[in-house]
Amino acid sequence: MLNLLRELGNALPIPFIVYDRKGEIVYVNRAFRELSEEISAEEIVGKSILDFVHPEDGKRAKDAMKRRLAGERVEPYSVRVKDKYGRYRIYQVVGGVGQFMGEKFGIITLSDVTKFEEQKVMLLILTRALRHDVLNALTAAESYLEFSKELCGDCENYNILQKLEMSIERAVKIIKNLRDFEEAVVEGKLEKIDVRDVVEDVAKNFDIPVVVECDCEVVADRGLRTIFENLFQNAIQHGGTDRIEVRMKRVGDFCEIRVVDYGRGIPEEIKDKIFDEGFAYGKAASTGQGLYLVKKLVERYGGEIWVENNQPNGSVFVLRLRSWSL
Amino acid sequence: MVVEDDAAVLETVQLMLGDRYDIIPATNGEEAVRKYKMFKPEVVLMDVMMPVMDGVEATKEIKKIDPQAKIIGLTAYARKKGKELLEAGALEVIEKPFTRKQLIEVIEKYLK
Repeated sequence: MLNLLRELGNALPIPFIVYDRKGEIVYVNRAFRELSEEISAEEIVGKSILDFVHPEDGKRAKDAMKRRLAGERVEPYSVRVKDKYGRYRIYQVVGGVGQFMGEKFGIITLSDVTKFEEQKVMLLILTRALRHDVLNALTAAESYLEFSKELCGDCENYNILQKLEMSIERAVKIIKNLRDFEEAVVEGKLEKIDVRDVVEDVAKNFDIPVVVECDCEVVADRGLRTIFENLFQNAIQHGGTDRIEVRMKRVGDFCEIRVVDYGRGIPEEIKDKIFDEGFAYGKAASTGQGLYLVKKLVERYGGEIWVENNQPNGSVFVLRLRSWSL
Repeated sequence: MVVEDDAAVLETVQLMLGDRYDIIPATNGEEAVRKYKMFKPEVVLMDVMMPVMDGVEATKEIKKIDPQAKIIGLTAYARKKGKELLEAGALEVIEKPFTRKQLIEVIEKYLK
């Protein structure tokens, strides 16, 4: 049986490692031996996984292994592993726990994400440079506009200046959405977030009452703030609601969050399009990025979002996010 | 003093504030440190991303010369870079784009 498992492990093209309670390696498959330093299957047994990872990543890897064996949820994380040429490559680590002959052991698989990570860094540098330059240009444009409005006073072209102002505001909003998106994607690490705390904090920036019922701890990051900012903004700007309620309850392994407004509601014919990139509707149409960003963030958290009608009027945005403590 | 490497932003800030305050312009962190020693301005408006020496380094250097220096950050990166500026000693950070009213309010707050 053990030989069969070893053969199967060696046939698998994905590198994986099995380790015991002490963090010592019990088994690695051929794919791992091929990616790492020259070392035989016998030599590798009993070594620590930390012998193979970059010293700066050791603590993170050790903590993750320990937590996994203790039964805690461990999100995928990245470590640098030295290849046979002595260069560090970046791997995404995903793991699980098993039991064999009364002994608990951990198993981790490694996927090479070096190229992806390098591209991500390049993209980040480019978008940051672009954002910086565009925001500087908009800062200057907004200032000149302010002067023009002062000079114009009640002149007949004032409405043109107002339209210009709206265009600048829209451009600023696009750039800020891009920033939120970049932060959400790049930062990567998901953590325990208290939804009530986030909702109450976001609500301070809006002039209408926001009532929060119950609470939940979910797997997310600070992008959750962006989600509520966008949902509240939409309910006010598009729906014209005068109040919002946020209700939460546990549904299995998920926390269901219902963002309820009492505005005009969303027309049936656009309901399946509102989360599409660039979709804008009606007189109050904005950048078309807000709900798209919301959906992308929710997906990144491993959750779902959809919209329902509220009774007698308004909309209910339903978010299902993974509960932190399963 | 207004420290900003983008010529258009520097010009507009001078236009916004020039009728109320005497402004010393600087186009990078190093120039800002040098001019701070010479002129001891009452308030410094400091951009973050600049060539030669960035706003975070310049803030640290100015705070070494004068721990009481009143520095206000101007940034397109309010969350991350803003935090670094505050840690370096800035009193607060204003996010770009800003308005004349915002600038005057914050300057007046620290001139008192």
